[in-house]
Amino acid sequence: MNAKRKTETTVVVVGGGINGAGVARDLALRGIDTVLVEKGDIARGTSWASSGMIHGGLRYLLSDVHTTYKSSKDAGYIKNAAPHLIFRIPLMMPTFAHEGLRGRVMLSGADALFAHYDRFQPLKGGWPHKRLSAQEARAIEPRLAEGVVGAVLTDEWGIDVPRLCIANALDAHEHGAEIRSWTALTGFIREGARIVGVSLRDELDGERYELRCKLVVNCAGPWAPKVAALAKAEVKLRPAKGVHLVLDRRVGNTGLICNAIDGRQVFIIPHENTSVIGTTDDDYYGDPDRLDVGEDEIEYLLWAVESVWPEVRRARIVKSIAGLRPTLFERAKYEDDLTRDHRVIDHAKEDRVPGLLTLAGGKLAAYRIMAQDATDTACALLNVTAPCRTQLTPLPGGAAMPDAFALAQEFDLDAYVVKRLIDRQGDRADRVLELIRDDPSLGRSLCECEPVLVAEAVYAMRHEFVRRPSDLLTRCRLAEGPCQDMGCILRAVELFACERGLSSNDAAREIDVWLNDKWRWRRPILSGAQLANEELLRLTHQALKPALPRLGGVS
Amino acid sequence: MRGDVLVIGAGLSGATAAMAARRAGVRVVLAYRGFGRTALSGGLFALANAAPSKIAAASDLARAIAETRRLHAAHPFAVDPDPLPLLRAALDAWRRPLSALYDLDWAVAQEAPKAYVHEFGALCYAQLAPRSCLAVTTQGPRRIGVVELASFAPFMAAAIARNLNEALAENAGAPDFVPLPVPFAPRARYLLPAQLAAALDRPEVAAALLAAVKSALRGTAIEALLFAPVLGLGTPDLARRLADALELPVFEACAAQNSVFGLRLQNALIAALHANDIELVHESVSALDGSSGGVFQAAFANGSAPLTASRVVLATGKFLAGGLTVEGRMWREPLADCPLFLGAEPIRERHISHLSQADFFAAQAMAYVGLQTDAAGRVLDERGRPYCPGLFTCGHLLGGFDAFAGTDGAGVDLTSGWRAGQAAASEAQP
Repeated sequence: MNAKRKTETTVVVVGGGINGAGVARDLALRGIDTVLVEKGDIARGTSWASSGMIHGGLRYLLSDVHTTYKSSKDAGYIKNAAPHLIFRIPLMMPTFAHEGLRGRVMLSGADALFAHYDRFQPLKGGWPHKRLSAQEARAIEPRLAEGVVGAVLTDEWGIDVPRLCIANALDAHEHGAEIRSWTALTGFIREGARIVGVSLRDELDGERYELRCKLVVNCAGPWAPKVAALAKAEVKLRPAKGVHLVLDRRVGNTGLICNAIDGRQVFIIPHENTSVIGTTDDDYYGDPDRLDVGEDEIEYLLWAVESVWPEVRRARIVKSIAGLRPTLFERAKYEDDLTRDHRVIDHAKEDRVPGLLTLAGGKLAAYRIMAQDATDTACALLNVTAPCRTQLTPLPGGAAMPDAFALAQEFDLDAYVVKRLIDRQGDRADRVLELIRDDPSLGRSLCECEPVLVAEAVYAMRHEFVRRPSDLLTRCRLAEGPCQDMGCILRAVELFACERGLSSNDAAREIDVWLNDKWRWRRPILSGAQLANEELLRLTHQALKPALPRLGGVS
Repeated sequence: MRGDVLVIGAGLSGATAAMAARRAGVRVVLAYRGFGRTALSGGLFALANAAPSKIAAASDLARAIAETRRLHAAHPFAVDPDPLPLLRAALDAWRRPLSALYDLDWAVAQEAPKAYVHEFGALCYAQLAPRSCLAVTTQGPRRIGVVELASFAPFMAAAIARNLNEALAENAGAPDFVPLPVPFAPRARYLLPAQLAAALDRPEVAAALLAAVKSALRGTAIEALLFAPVLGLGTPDLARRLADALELPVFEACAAQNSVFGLRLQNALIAALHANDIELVHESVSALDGSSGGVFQAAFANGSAPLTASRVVLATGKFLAGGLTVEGRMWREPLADCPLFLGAEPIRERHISHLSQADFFAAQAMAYVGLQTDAAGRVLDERGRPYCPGLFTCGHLLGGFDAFAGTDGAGVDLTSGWRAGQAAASEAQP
């Protein structure tokens, strides 16, 4: 690929999370030559660790109605652009007798607040809220804790965030942008004060090279200060760590809103065929590359959920996730109260570094409008007048919703399998399925606990910027199901080795990288029934580690 | 109900302990909750040091065991002056009951581990293996077809064949593996190995498979067939019937875990226990009380009448069967709160996360944590004295060896099971 690397472009976007991918797409749609560089894989930083919800901005309702209006409207844009990635999460907020009068007051308050919010719900296709009696709440969620006195039921949109990032990156690519994952920014090229390019290092082959450009847009999220510092510019963030826990199954019919010990709200929401508990919100001062999950954070989350759903203590936690919110710097505020607003910083004005913009702060649900703001600023600097088109342009896969049953019949597959494929690929599902027509063996599943078609992995390797086998994790949810890999990683690396002609030693290294990444997030939560899973998983890999001549074999 | 010896756990170690005690003439009751590590195993009998990188250093069984004893003082092999006779006695005891599945020949057991073809196209090493597994030799069939069943996901024949050929490239006389696609698809797709095996237990499904393989073989020069481990759940009879009908050898790839071999082995163990007049109680023991001087009371989770016995062998395995649990992030042996060790060190107060390592493949404490015993299999306390009179243990509940490596698990189960069963019987008061 070295020969094909271009040495000049108009804009370099730094960061392959949702902001970087969103900006690259917006730039590309406006016809601006763009290269996106990301030091790891697409969507493996904050975006990967997000709760995956597109809120309509309920929290701003009392302070800033306009923000709620904008948030709801933008959530509607995202929903329409990528209907396949979206799923409705009914959310129940129960109140209990032990909360006394305060609980009842809160319930009435919530009822009134949601009644107000209902006016914005149509903007994003949401349903009006419902006030539930104790009996109604228990009928919907029979396993609620004792003493329910009533509940409020509302809904928000859940979204497959990694796939949203991929979809944005794909659209950028299809409009001429280049997406370079596993490519680290090592420095800036300056002419006087002005930035005229970037120095890059390919993290897989180690090659260093330069890329000239007119403008760099720093979308590195919590890494943005580090990137800016390379240009001797400053980005001030107050990053906050958020931890999630993933359970081995869907445990309820709705998501539940629970109160944590400090009065914060914690969710437990169904996601694919797992449940996700989250999140914490704590100031973080360490290295964004060395995040880990602590004992107290796990206990904080379980304590919160336990009061609403006591059985959580017996649930199997299959992994933890930690990420950093790239929140803007503010003094003398609690983490929760920090603004989720965003800023586009022109470092020419703030640090006398022309040629560098930083998109900082913000939240997932605002990614599109954030990208629009950053791109508008970039266009002004580049004298480009093309308007933003991301409000109404469908993302790849999002132009139509195919009929799962019809496709299942056509390709002789289970409708369930095809529906899951559509949830990731939308109207491009048929492109994946076409591969099976040529080679029926691609119609099988790589995974034993969730149906992940071999064809889907092959398609991702060919079209979705997969540079190493573990990239498949976000492309097709490989090794993300309840068993967290009983061999699907070995099969995937094998498949990758066939497709790309990987050497035995490289394949062995890729297996190590992937297994270690999975272990990093499993290690903090080992207890209860998950230990049995860990024993089986380790039997697979440890028995094979010395034995595989090609896959992880002794060299 | 009352037994002289109560064994808790029906895996390989518990079943072996029960057989040893029964041989000694006492009345044995075996209680088990469900299928654990043995049923979820790959069914290979790795007896000692069966890792390929170590073959050169410790080729035969006696040397492998001696080497293990020398290197690992807390290993279950190290507590007995000579584990070899125990291992032999256990293998001899199982030879007939398991003869449909294994040829547990003592002479073969003592040889160097053999390389068995694994379902991921690797080679797995063990001294003994199910009869239907394929040991790679330079004298066997030269051209082996790797059967790819259209319905069955996890077995990737083309990749397996390529891996094996590459691994064996430098061995003159090694077989050549060729993928053989077989258009055989039972109605439901995405079957797990055990589900496909269960389907193949039905004669009409097996007949359909035979017909499909027959036509796929036409015009090929294939001398033997390698299947995924799915040829029937109960017995490997289907492999033999296919071999007879096709007039060529039929093998199944071996597995490291969660395989039909484990299920077949478990079923055969249960049948053998029945046949040897061992009373089986298929219920979950929830607590064990040994405080009333020489008599244990085992309470059941479902409230059935408690069971009494003068001697108890704990064979509850590691995490899979619930032999060890983690409560409040602390390790615990849930039935009798036995003292836990990491190597020779007691770990009662130590926290699980403090003992794990960041590298996935590094030696993880959770693989080595467990109970320690004396040479009679008695559970020891932190000071190395018997923890509770009459309480024995065996198998993967023992600490001091890597329970996940698969290099000596069966060896530990057999020697420690036989040791504990014998000792419990000789101390039992009928």
